[in-house]
Amino acid sequence: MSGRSRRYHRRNGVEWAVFGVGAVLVACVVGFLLYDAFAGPGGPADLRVRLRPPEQPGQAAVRVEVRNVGGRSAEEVVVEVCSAAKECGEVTFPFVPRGAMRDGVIGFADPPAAPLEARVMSYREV
Amino acid sequence: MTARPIRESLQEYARGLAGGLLFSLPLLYTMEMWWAGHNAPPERLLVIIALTFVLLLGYNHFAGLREESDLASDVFESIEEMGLGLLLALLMLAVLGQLTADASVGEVVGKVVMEGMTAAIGLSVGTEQLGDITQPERLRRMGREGEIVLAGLGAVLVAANVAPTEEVLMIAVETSPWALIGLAALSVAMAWLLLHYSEFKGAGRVARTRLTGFALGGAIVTYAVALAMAAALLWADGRFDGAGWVAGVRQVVVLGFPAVLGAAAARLLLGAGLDEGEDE
Repeated sequence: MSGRSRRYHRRNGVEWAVFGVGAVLVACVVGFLLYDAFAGPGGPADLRVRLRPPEQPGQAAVRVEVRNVGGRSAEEVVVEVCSAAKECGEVTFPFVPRGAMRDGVIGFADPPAAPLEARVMSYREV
Repeated sequence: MTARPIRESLQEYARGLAGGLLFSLPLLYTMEMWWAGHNAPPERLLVIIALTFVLLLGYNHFAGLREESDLASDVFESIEEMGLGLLLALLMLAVLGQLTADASVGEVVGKVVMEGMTAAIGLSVGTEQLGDITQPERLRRMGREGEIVLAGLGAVLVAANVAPTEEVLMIAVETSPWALIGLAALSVAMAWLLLHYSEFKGAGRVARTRLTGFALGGAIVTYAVALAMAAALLWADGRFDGAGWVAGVRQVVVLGFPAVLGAAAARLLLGAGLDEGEDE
């Protein structure tokens, strides 16, 4: 640390331990970022929606999972889910960062008629 | 050649942690910083780490207490501070509920880097400033480069808390050009005033504080450093993305004011109590 008086020329065990942990942490972070920069996903945001089947049959709530496999983050993601009977509901995700997954729930008035169709209606790229 | 007592090291780490928290707490509680963290592409985070490392190296070099500070110990200390800063950010973000179970590794790394780098600067300054060590010979070594590093650090310390806010952009786009020119003029005036004040506080330091030959020169150089730091902070927070260059320059001028206050007051903020023993 910068404030230490440098009367002592040898570092003690605690200092070496803190340095060791710090060096490993910094190396891991830089290593991950380098890997992500060169081998990670590039290009625009790429959102994939997945519907999770209700845990019990006859449930009116549909769980929506959205994953961003693209290179950029998405903001204000609106996902719409429609049932076969054209009953629709939507859910908004404030942020879906690159590489991240978010989930939400859409409630229907009645258990929706299969098959369900999901689409990303809009989002902003950041 | 004896090693430092463990107790003394622990005291220093405690001081550093206090400084790191004091400085980065407003940023840990700012949602724009979390967003900037998970929206930042990896290349930007790498540049932020590199810039912070350079700033820490510079501060450790010029604020070091030994007459001849060597590169190896500057690097050692900078890595210590960076590691502790990352740990502190990780801990605080977890406690503040910002590291949720569904977050990806990239998200966590982005947030921790964004918050951790400011914490590392706070740690560095905290160890120094919250201590009771007063070493007159320290500033004596500090030439023009030292002054610039100190000014840059002061600018970051003050402006980092303002940079991520929406208000900078709001002021930047809504203010008339004449008001912005006025703000720039006020910035230079404040720099001059603060530098002048810090000059007569330590009576003998006239020659050193003045970065150039003429009276306003120091203020202008200080403002240039402040503008550079303001631009770096805005870039790090992603405030230039899609803003266009006019809005970009306007934002730099708006953030330049808090930055120049930090830069010009750096001697007062970071060099307080170190004025004795000046002998020019």
